Amino acid sequence: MLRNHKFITCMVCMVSLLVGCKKDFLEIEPKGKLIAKNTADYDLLLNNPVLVSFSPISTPVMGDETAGISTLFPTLVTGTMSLADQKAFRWEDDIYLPSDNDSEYTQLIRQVYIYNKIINEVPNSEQGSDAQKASLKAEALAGRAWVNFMLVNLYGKPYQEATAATDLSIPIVKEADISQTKFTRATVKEVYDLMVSDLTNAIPNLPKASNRLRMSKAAGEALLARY
Amino acid sequence: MQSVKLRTLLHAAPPKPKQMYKIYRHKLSVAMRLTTAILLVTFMQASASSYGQRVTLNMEKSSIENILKEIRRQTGYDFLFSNSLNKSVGPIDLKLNDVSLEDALKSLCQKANLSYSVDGKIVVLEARNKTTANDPPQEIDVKGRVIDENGKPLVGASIAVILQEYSEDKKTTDFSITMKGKKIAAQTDANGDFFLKNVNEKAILSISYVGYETYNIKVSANMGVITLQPAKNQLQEVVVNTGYQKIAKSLSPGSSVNPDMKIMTERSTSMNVLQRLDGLVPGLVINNAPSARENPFLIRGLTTINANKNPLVVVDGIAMDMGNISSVNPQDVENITVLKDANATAIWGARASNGVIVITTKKGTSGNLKINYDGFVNFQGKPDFDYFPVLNSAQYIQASRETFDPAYWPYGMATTYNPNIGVSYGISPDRQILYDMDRGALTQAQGNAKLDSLARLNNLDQMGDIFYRNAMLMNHTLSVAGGGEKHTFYNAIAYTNNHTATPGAKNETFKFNTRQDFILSKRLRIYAIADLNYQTTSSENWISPDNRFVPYQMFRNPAGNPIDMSYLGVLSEAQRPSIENLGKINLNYNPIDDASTGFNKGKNFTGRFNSGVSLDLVKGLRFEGVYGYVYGSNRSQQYRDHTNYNQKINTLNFAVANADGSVTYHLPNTGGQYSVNQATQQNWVIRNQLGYNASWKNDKHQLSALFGQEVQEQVTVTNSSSVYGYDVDLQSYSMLNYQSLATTGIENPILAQVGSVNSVLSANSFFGETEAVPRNRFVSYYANANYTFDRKYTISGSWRNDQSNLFGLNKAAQRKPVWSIGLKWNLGSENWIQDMRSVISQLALRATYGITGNAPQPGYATSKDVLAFFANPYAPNGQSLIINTYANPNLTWESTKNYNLGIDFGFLDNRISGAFDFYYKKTSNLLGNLPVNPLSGASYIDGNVGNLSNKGIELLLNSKNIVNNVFTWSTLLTLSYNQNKITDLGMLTSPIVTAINQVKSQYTVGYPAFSIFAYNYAGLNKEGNPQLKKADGSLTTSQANTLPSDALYMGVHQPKWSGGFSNQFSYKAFAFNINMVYNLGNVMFRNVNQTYTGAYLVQGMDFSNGNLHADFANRWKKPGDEARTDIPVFIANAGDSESKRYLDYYIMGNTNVVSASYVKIRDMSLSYQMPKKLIEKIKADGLSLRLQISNLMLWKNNDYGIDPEFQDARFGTANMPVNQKTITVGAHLTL
Repeated sequence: MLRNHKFITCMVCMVSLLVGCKKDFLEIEPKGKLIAKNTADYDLLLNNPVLVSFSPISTPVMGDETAGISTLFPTLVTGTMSLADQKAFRWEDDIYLPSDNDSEYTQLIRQVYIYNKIINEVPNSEQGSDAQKASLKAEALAGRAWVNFMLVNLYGKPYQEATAATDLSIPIVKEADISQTKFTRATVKEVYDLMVSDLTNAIPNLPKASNRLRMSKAAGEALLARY
Repeated sequence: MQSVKLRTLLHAAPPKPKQMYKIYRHKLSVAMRLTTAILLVTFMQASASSYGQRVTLNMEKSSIENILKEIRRQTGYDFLFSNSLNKSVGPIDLKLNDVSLEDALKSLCQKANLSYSVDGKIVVLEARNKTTANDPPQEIDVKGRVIDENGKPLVGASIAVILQEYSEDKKTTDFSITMKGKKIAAQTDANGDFFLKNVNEKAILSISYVGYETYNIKVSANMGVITLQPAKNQLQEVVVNTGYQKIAKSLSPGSSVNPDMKIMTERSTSMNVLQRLDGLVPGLVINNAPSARENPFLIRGLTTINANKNPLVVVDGIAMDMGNISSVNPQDVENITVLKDANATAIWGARASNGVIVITTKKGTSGNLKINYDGFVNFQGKPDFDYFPVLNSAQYIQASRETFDPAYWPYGMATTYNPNIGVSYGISPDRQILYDMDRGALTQAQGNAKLDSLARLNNLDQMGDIFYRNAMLMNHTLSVAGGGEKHTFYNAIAYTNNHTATPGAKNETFKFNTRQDFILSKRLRIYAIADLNYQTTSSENWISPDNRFVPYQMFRNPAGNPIDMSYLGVLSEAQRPSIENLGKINLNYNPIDDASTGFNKGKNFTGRFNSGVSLDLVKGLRFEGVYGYVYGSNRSQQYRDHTNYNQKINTLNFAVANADGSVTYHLPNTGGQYSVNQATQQNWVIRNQLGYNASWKNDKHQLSALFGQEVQEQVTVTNSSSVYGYDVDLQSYSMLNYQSLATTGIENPILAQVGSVNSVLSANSFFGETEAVPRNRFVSYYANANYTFDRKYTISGSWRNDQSNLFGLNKAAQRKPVWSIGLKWNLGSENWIQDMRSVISQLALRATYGITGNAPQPGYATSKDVLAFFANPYAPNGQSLIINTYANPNLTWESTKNYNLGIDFGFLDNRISGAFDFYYKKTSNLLGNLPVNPLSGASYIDGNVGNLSNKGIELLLNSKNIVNNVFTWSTLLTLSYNQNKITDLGMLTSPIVTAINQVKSQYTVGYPAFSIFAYNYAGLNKEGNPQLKKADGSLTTSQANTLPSDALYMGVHQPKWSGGFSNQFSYKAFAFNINMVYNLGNVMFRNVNQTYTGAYLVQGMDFSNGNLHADFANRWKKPGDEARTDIPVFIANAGDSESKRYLDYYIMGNTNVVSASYVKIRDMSLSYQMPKKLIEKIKADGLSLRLQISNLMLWKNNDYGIDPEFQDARFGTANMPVNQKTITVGAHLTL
């Protein structure tokens, strides 16, 4: 009888230990979520709608006749404006509310994060050919250049040959790492130089135009032509 | 020993001096005997000659006296006997021939029916007992009743019958006692009565019951009422079940409460076990208000903001989802323990910060088959659709006239559907009349007459008759329990019918629960539980209107036909015909016909499978294994036919009119939209633990320890799919071009979608599969030790480490342990307190400290960026990945430091008993938004940041006020007080920088959670607009330029003081209980009118809107009114209204914050135990009937008639009250 008990105990212990002792028992990813690993993942990351959505806080139509329609002006009920729109219509100095957390800057820097992530990680990704990886990296470089272009013109003086080397603009961010804390403003010239070099490196590898959401060689060249 | 009295009797003849011998005929006491003996000895000095001890007699018909004299002469022995003996014993013949004295005496006694005993040289003669052992003993029938110290009947007490025989050999002084009888001659029934037939009248009854002192008493025909007292050393034989082990409460320093099971099983307004604990557990606050829907059950205050707020519920040792708790039948519950402090909960690790509720279900006991039936019907009536304070029809028409502004909203605009500015509602009948009067289609007289006739109508009666039926909740449970020595079982089946107030709705649950326990050998036990629950629901498409809807709009005309209400739809009556012609679909609407155009069905199956093994290894060491598996499958279907109004609009959104007059329907105009949603839950647990229990030196040292390992996984997968053109009978559906419908959409539809030029179908509608509860796994190790010295001093500790895929991969995050330590001192057992025993029957002090945790939601974060799928119709293949959460390898669980001090007390022989606790909890590492430098790419990530604290007191008081054989009265009082404070929250997604932000926020640093802020309302200005008084004293009507300090802190909406007050009375076979609950110290916004602008009063097909609050009649109408009212003016023009004022300054003003305190009678019940004579006929053991009234408001601290349980405290809106003043009839039968 006692032997039977010992046997049962051993069996039970073994079963439980087997289950618990698998090293990767805890390392499972919840479904519906993914850690980027394959080249194809980075390709899909470039379809992220965030990359093409940029809406300034306020886009009021500046003519009295259109924005001043009483039915459209309120924020509630039948209206379509926001508080910032109403302030802009009234030409107030500060259209932002103290509680506004989102801004043009945060929307754009989000895109820079994604582009940096792709630029830095895609060379090491799996299951992709070198040509595919180069193409994706090129799209990201060109995308980053486009975003930097918008940022430097929103938050820095316009490019002027004489003063570009001393006018301050935005910090240059090249790493996708949210734990960074030190940022210094670069000069306008530095940012433009980065954009030009990004585009120059990217253009040879950019793909042909396919989907209007994605960067193509023609678009890259068009961008470079602006500088 | 018979005591004898001295009775001296002088011999009639004077003693002859020579005759030294005397015969003393009297009864003598022992002392006297001795004295006599001594005297005799002294008298006998002369007669020193030795007498022979042999007797020779030949006497006939001689008196005993003479015989004795002769024997005396021959042997020299003296005799003592009573006078009456001489008389009663007649003349006897005695022939003896040289026999010993012994034999002589034997013969004599036999002849004379006497018994003798020899004491030195004296022989005492007595009458032999009238009834000898040879006589047949008398048998009697015995009946009686057994009650406990509270006067309640003790059911199932064992009655043993014992016969004792004593015999002794006088010469050798050997004796023997024989006891025989029957161990369980009877058991007390449901009323405590017992009855025995043919019991030996000399027998003794021994009445015993677990936890009580055994009571022995000689039998008699009517034993009356016997009261058993609790066993002295088991005064608190309550057992605390932590889910891992059972400890005697006297040895546990943790703070835990075992609520009264009787009250819980008899409550009948809900089949949810947790809801039935209202008012029974100090520290557990149940809040049913809509503003508390995220945290209806809170133990000791709110301990987290973003993680799971509910306590952990454990059933038979395995954690269970709160959502499944209704699958546990309250009739099947044996015991509930609520664990509150760290010492009790630390063993549950990183999910127990909110407290743990441990539920144990019933199991069988060996012995006779016990059959129990319990059934009840709870009549709930119709919901209180008349609850809200609104305008009557006449006032409503008046208000409509006053707010009518055709200049702002001309008739043309009002009757044209314009998708760009939001849905254009049709015009209600009274507005139609007003417009007609304005544009000349009706004369003033005609219009006024029509309005007057509308003002006389009221739809409340029709509303109640058509849209509601009397609701009823019914439950029947039948359980069979029993077993033998090696196997016991408990099987129960139950049926619940939740007949809701919605017509045509069905909700039925069938349940089968079985538990088998096997004792395979002295050391090995196993058990298996299978608890199956199947629920099926179905309903049609009925609306639930209330008196906030347009008051004069009737639903049926006098002929009984439904009245058309197409104006509630999307189109005005003026425009509807043209769209109908274009689309060839009839667009009229009325809620009665629309009700049968769709259905919702659900089938929910839950199976809970538990099994366990208990193996005693060596002395004191036991292995216990628990293995559990929960499988749940919920399938719900929703069908909306193409004749359903909303479906018709949807069809027209995707219909295009062709040039030739025909229509192309891109969504089918046949069948209907059919959606299926399936959720499958699979959770499993494997637990192995080793326990050690030992005591030595006669329980002077008691030690129990356990160590275990646990592995578990939980996952719920849902998938959904939706098709159009579904034919329910043929089960066929249409093929659609989802790609084009979701991307480009349909151009120039007959009826445009709101806010969209082309009509577009949502991309994810036809198929989806997700892990609704993402797969999460835990591997845990835990240990616990408990040591008690001298039954007085206890020290206890526990430790647990949880590793989980929910936490970041850093070692520091994974390896944090949860632990606790506790001390208990049983003052009541100390020697020096025994003098006060009569006053202080029990006193114990407890102190505990520990760390408990709260785990993040699954998928919260890992060490790398987590991406998620997002359907982007513009991307290649329509697929894209987005960043769902940024990397945080340091993510870990929230931790709480718990301090608890408690006293358990009992006074006056436990007449008053209870417990008092003080606690302090400090939670840190709250999950929230961890701010990071926004220049890096994000402003915040999910991380551990934030602190809050809770402190409070709890009191549990039991009092037996009157206890006697006929009438008893006892009281139970529970009280909890909680004070909460948030000290840090990390970065807020919406920072608080204006007064408006402050009023909208219920979690603010420096204030308690659930705080209510209000504007400092300063009344109306000269134009009737609400004013805010800012902190600097200035007044403003604009919403700009305010600071958080301009908002006032009003209090919290979670009750500060909460608890219950129960009184139980019993008189003979009747029992009356009244249980009250109270919630005090919190505040809420009262409901006020919230509509002060706009061109419409009705709001589409929302039948809880359309009318105005009763206050509206008292609003500001002309200058000067600001002196008599603080209700703002109505400005129809929305743009004007918004630019001139901010209405929330009034609606959310401090003048509209009222106390939310209330006291309610949860239930009041009367029960009756049927007398034995009646139920004997059906061979039943007990039958009780009960009548209960539930949810009666006793007192509330607001003058507006608001029931705080149905009020959303934060926004001043209310839900329709249901289940108030319900009546239940129930019965419980024991066979």
